[in-house]
Amino acid sequence: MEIRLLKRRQPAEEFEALAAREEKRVYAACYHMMGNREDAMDCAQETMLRAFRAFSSFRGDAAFGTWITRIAMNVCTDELRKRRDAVSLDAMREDTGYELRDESPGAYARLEQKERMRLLREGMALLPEDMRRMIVLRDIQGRSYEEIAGILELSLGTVKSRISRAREKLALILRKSSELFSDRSV
Amino acid sequence: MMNCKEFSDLLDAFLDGELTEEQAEQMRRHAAECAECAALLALRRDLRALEDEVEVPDEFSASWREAVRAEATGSKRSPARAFRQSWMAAAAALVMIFGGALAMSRGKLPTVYRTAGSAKAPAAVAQTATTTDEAPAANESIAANEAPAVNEAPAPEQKAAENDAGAVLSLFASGSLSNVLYEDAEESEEIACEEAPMMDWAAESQEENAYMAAEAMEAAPAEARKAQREYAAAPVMSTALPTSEPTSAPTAQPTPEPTSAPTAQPTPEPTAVPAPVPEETDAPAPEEPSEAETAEGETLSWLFWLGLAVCVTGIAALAFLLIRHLKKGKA
Repeated sequence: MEIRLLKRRQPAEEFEALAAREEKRVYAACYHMMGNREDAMDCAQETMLRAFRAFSSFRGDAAFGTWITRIAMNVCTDELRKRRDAVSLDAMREDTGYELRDESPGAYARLEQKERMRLLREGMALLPEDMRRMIVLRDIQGRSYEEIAGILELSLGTVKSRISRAREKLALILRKSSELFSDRSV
Repeated sequence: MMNCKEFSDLLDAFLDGELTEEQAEQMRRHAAECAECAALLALRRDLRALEDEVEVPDEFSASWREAVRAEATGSKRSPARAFRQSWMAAAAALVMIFGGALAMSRGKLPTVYRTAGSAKAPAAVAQTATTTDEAPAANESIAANEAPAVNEAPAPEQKAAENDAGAVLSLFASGSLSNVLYEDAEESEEIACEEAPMMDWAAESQEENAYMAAEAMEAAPAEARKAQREYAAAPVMSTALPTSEPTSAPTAQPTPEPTSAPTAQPTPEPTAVPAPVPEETDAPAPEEPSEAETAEGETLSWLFWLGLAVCVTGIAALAFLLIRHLKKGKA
């Protein structure tokens, strides 16, 4: 009751208090989606502004964290879509011309962690945007399936199947890049 | 013994630390034996590590708060600003409507009277004033009433009148002086009486013009009518003049002195109305060139349509503002 009265009186202050708790996760989600600091800053800032503008319509049906993460995902998706229209990355991704040998499935695990992290960032950038969203929310940020379903407004089954497909895709990308890296190293 | 499917299913719980120590030990043992599951475990751990390595920049923490505060302040000010802007827009729309209406009324004026009057009138009067003896006497009676207007008249026009003296002679020769006189009457009526330009200038015949000029005088302010009474001799004088000398007629114009005739010309006074009316009977109006009419008619028509467009745009803008205001009121 007191919080509602405060929200009515000072929406900006109330929003700041709530958003400050989600600040790190919002920025991190934007960072993982966009892949660099500058774009992450822009998208996170836009997320905060959009959230504040829509704050009057936030009725607390979902957790504030879920609500603002949904906005962040939408902001990143919009931005990535704009860029995809400018340069078709999908076409570049499809034409790698590399056949997986499947002889060394554990090549990724044998690499140094520093190299693994570098390959992982590159692999995330190569992942399609909808799959990247799943990996970010589930495997990077460790959100529950239920929360992800709430953020993306999808059913639980859809979320699970999409996460599974996204993981397979990322594993495939990393296996290819790990083999290439191993071949170069040798 | 754990298989790969079980390993994959328990991996999230393992990473979250939710498994029992026995289950966790089985997971570790399987990863040590299975290269693929070891790679999967390494990948998932690395993904978790990605989150840990992210540091929120200080400038982001500051900038989003500033942006939100600025947004909050801006949204508080916006209603008043929007109110002011809408009133300014409404005022602009009204100006467009009245301006457009004015342009439309100007655009509807007959072409003939505008042709020679606008450029040659001062010169014509100057010329006629200097060529007649009666003019000063007749104009002095007006001078008392018109003194302020005469004094305010710009000097450059006098020079222009002198320079155009030769052109005036050619005007008389072509019969355009009557148009000059009509232009004078038109301007004086426009100022003295608003109804006069709209209803009078469609008339073609000279008698009709004379009648309408008289009407304009009646509609003119009392001061103008007083001046008109004093100047009542002007039509008589001009009619008494020989028709072969049409230059005497313009001297009945409100020109206090021959040299200052052009300066008095641009100041539209109702007293100037009677002078051109009788003179019109003597002027060779029918000889006016039709080319001039056509050319000027296009210009005036363009002015009319421009005025109409501006007027319609202003009305549309005003209607839009009104509808928006009503919608906001309902909301």
